[in-house]
Amino acid sequence: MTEPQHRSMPPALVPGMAEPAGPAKPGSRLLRTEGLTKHFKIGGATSRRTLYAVEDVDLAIGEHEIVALAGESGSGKSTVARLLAKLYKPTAGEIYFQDKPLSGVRGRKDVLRYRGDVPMVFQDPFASINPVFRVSHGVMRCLKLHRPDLSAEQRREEAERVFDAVGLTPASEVLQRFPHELSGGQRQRVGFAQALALRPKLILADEPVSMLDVSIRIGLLNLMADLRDTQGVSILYITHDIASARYVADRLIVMYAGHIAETGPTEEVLSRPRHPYTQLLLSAVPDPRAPLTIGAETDRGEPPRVIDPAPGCLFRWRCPLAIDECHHVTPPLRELLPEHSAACHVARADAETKAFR
Amino acid sequence: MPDDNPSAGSAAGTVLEVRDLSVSYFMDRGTTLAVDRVSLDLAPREFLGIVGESGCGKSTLLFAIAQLLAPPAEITSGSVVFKGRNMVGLTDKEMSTVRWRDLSVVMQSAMNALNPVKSIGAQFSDAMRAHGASKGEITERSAEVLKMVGIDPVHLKSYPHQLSGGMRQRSMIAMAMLFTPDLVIMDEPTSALDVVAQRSLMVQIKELQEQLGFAIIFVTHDMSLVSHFSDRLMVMYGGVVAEFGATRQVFDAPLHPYSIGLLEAFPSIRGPRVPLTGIPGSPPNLASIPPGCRFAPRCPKVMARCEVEPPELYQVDGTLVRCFLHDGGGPRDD
Repeated sequence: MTEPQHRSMPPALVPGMAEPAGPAKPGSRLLRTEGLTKHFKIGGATSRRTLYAVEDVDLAIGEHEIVALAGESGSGKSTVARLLAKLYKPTAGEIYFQDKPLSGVRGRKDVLRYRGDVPMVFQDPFASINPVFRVSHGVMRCLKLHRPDLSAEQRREEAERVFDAVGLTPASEVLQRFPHELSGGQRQRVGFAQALALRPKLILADEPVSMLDVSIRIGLLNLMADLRDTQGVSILYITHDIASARYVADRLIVMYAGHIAETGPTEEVLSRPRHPYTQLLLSAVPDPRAPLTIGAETDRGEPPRVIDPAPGCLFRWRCPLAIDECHHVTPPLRELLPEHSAACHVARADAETKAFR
Repeated sequence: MPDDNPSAGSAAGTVLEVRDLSVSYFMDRGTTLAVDRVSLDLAPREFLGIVGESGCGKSTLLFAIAQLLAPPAEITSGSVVFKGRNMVGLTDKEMSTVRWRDLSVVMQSAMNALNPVKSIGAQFSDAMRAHGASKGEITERSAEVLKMVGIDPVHLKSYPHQLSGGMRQRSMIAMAMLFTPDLVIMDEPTSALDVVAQRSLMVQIKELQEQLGFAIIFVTHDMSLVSHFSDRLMVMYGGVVAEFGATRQVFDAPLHPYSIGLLEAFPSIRGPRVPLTGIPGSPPNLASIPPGCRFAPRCPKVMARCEVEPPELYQVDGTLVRCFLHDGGGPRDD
C-alpha cells in the first residue's frame, strides 16, 4: 500500500480536488463550499429542537466533471443541492462559484445569471414539466428569460440544438409535443434540454433517474456523460444508487447524516473504501453477478439521529469498529491517500479496516 | 424428464395454480388487456420473483391472484386455484376467511397501507379479531411477530408516523405473519427504502420464509434485488410472460432479448466499467397491442416474422421463453 502523500500533487492538475485553506487557483474549480451548514428548526413555534441537515461540508466541483453525491434518504444530499441552487440560505459557511462568494450574489439580475449558470434537473419528470403546454414552452421561456439577446428565430434554433443534444430527435417535431405524449425517459431528457438551453456551467441533477424504469436509466446516465464531454458542463449527480454513481461519476462524495463521510475519485473510493459507512453501502448493493455477501447480522439500516446530536461520530451506533473516541469527538475529514479523504477515527491509509464486506 | 414444465413447481404439490389468467381494464376510451393468459404454479416454500418495468402488468397480476382487483379492472378468463379452491368469483365474504389466515399481501408503500390514526397493535388486533382470535392470543401473537421482524414489541403502541420507513415496512411484514399463511404476496415491499435497509429486509424475508415455510410471490422492477433470493423468476413484458425459469438460469443465460437487455441495463459495482446501452424505446401501449411480438419495436434481434405473428412460449432447457429465436428449442444463427 502506498504511503499517504500529502498534497504532493499540484492542485492545478487535480481539478476539483478539495484543497486545504489557501487562495484558490482560478480555473481549477468551478464551485466549492467552505463549512457549508444548514439547520432546520422543527416542531411548533415554541420548539427549540434543531435538525442538523447539513453540517460543515467542504466540497468542490471542477470543470467538465461529474461529481456524484451519494447517500441514503435523509443524509442531506438534496439539501446540499438546494443550498447550491440558492433555494435555501446556508445557516453557516459559504459557497464560492467561480471563486466569488454566493452570499454576494443579490439582486434579480445577478441571481438570474447564477440560476442560468447552475440550473437544476428534478427527480420527477412527471411533476416538473407543465402538462398544459407543449414541451417547447419551457425551453422557450428559459431562453427568453436568460438570454434576451436572442431573436425569436435564434431561440427556435437554440431550442432545436439542445433537443438534438439530449437525443430528442427530430427536435423540431418533439418540441411540438405535449408532455403526456412523451415517456418518462424522454421527459427527463426535456429537463436536461431546458437546463442546457441556459448554457450552464454546472447542472444540479437531483436523483434524475430514480423514477425511471431500469431499461431507460442507463440512457440518461450516458446522456450525462455525453453532455460533460461534448457540452463541457459539470454535473452534480445526486443519487442513492452507488452503482450508477460508479458508472458515470469522476469523483464520489458519500454523505452520512449531513456530514461528508468519504470523498475521492470514484474508482479509488469504491475499490478501497475507508469509511465503514461506505463499506456498508457497497456491501448492500445487489449484484446478480456476485455471490451474496451480506448476512443476517448485517446492520438493520436504521437512520441516524440528526436532531440536536451530541458531538461524536453519527455512524457510531451502527459501526462495528467504533472506539471510545467516536462517542465524544466528531471525526474530521482527513486525507488518507492522495485525493481520498474519510471522516473516521479508525480509518487509516495503510491498513485494511473492514467493517462490512 | 417426466415433468419438465417450468411453469409448474416441484413435485411436492402446489399451493397455487394460476391458469391462463387474463385481466382487462374496461374504460370509456377502450379496453386495455393488462395481463394476457398468464399461467404459473407455486410449490410450498417456494420464492417466485416477478420482474418487469412499470406498466408491464406485474402488479395487476398480483392483484388478480389476491382477488383485490376493483373496477374498471376485471378478470376476463382463467382460474386461480389456491389450496384446491378456485378463488376467481368468490364473494368478499368467502374471500375474507382466506385473507390474512392463509394468504396475506404486503403492499408497496407501508405509509399508505397502514392506517395513520391507529396504533400498530390496534391494526394487528383488527386482523386477528376478524378471524376470531381471543384477546390473549392477540396480545401474545402481536408481540411475537413484531419480535420476529426485529422490532421491539413496545412499538405495538406506536403509530405509523413514529416509525422509520424500514420499521413501517417490517411491521407490514409482521402483520402478514400473524397467522402462519401458506402464501405471502409482496408488491415491491422494499422500493421505498434505501439500499442498506432494502438489503437487510430482503435477508429478513428470506429468513422468515425458511423459518415459517410459506411461499412467496415477490414483484419488483429491480431484477438484481431478487437475484439471490428467488427460486424461480418470471420476466413480464407488455402483459405477457417473456421468460420464466430458474432464477440462476435466467441470470446466467438469459434467453429473451428483453431479459438480456434488462440484465445489461444496470451497472455493476464490481468488475471493469463497461459502457452500457440499456433498451431504447418505451414499453408498449396495452390499449393497442401490435399484431406481432410486443417487444419487436425495441428488440435488437427483430426478424420479419416478429412484426406479424405473436410468438408462443417455447421451452428451452427447462426455461419458458416467448421469442421466435427459440422456436424449435434453440437459438438460430442470425
